[in-house]
Amino acid sequence: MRRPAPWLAPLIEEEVHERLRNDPRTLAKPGTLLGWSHDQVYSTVIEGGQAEFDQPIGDLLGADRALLYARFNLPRHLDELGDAFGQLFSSFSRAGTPTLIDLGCGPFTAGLSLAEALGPESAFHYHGFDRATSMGELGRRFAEGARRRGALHGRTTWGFGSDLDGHDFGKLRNDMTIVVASYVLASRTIEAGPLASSVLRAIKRIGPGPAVFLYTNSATPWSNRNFAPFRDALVAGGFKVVFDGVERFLQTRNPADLRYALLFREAQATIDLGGEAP
Amino acid sequence: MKLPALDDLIQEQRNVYLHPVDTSLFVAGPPGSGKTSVAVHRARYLADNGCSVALITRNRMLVALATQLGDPRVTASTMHRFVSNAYSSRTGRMAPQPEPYVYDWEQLLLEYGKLGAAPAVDHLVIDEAQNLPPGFFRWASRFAARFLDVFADEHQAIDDEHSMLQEIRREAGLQNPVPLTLNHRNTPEIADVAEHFHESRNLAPALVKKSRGGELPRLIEIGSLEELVPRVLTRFRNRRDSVGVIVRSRKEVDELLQLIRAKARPGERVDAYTKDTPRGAEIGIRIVEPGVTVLTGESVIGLEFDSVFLLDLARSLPCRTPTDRRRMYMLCARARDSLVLVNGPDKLDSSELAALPPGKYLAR
Repeated sequence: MRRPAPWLAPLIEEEVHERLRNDPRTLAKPGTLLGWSHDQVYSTVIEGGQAEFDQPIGDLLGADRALLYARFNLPRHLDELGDAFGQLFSSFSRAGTPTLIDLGCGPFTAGLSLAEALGPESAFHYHGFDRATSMGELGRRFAEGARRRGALHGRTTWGFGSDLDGHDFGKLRNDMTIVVASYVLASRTIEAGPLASSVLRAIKRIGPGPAVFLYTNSATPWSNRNFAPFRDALVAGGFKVVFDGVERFLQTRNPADLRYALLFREAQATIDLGGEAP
Repeated sequence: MKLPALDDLIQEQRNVYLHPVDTSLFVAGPPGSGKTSVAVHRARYLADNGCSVALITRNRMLVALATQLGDPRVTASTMHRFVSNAYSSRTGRMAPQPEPYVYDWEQLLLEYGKLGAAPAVDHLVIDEAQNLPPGFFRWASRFAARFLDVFADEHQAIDDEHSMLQEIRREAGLQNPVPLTLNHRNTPEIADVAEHFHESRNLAPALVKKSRGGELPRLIEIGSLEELVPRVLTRFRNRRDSVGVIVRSRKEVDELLQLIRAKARPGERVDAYTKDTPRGAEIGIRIVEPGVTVLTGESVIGLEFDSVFLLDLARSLPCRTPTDRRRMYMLCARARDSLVLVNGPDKLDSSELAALPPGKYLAR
């Protein structure tokens, strides 16, 4: 089992478990989560992680559904991304402040994992994208909670949105960009080609520095049906596949097969000034 | 999972000074990215490989610095001196200048075209190229050298005496520039202040190599230039490093020079440099050595100091134009370890003060 950072479990306890435990709907029906059985939550409320989280269901609002998603899915995702970032950043001497684009971000999921890997000594810029605004709202609570617990560097920033193409990433910079797509490509609403194009445009807007793309998903073919066209579009955009495969992931409570991939693109060798060079 | 460490994926940037000697080179780098050092290395590398090389820049102080850093086989000169010498040695006449230091490039090109002579040197290594006019690149690439090695930062305003990166590429017939991406000069704290003014969509600030933990840049107030003198001399005496004091006008340079010299002790170097400094005097100004140098914002381009007192603020603040922001970025980035912004003797107004970085970056 992976050993998480000491601030992570208390943060999840405060932001998820305590809130669920102390909610009047849970207190009124002991043994439930907000009045719903565990099976109902997984199959109906969060639909295995692919629900329309902003849509009310029964007496649950978007914020409730996001909270229940965090209760069920967040720990495993944190184990996977924590393991990945721990390896990627085991040796990282490059100066600067990385930018993290978290696609289908959930509640600041990759931000928490990167904070674990970098520690409070290093800053990063986090940009989370999710169709569900309720996820962004919960993500902000996690980010603020992590900051209160001293887990984030003072210059770490975060923001949440749903429109990758319209997002303002701030001033041009040379730092590394990290793009994470954890389980998001399993979504029924994802179109692989347009999303990959948006990712390439976003990286270009951030700056000419090197870029990493990290992919994780369950191992079923259906969950990964969007990955091949997505990966191929990134390769056409200059990325190289460093790893792409399936492996039994053991660093978590219930080991299961995990599909993961890493793609990398070097910093741009020349500055595109626009127009045509002679 | 089995993933590599990021350090194993990222290749170090190739040394641009090892670029093949039989091609031109275009390098773009923001302040602090080592353009002058790389240009001098490139010139030396070309000379080592049997090429004839001339190093060109705009201001004489930078020529003096390049000479101090450089190689006796490489001649360093300003663009003006290079162009006027090249023209007069070929024609026996003065180069056509409608006004002092401004050449009639069309006329030059026409005359050189008629002469049809071959370039005199293999390589022109051109530093701070953004401060040279587009016409120079058109002339140099056709008639002055077989190959150009151009090192430039951004210049954002369109005028006749400076060049944007796109203009350099077009006029000199170069490919897109290779970026310099590491800042070897500033502390992260100083880079934070400088980058507050950065807004380019072409050239990103270079990544700062130094670690945090340096001095936080400060904004101080003075009522008169006399008040600044003890601060400057105390800084110099405590650290024994190079101190640059950047003011707006030549009159202020002269005034401050006299005030500091009056309080300096014997053996303490206090110099001034402006474009009116007598020709040749810049060779004696050892700006890389401990001492105080007073100079204008125009004269400081390409230079660096351990400590900088920056008085030339009102000309740029409140940064209404890209040129204003670029100037503030360039001026703040002159400092290696210590940066003090000086409000006075004429006080900044509220809109000018509001354009400065917030307190967490700039202590008040």
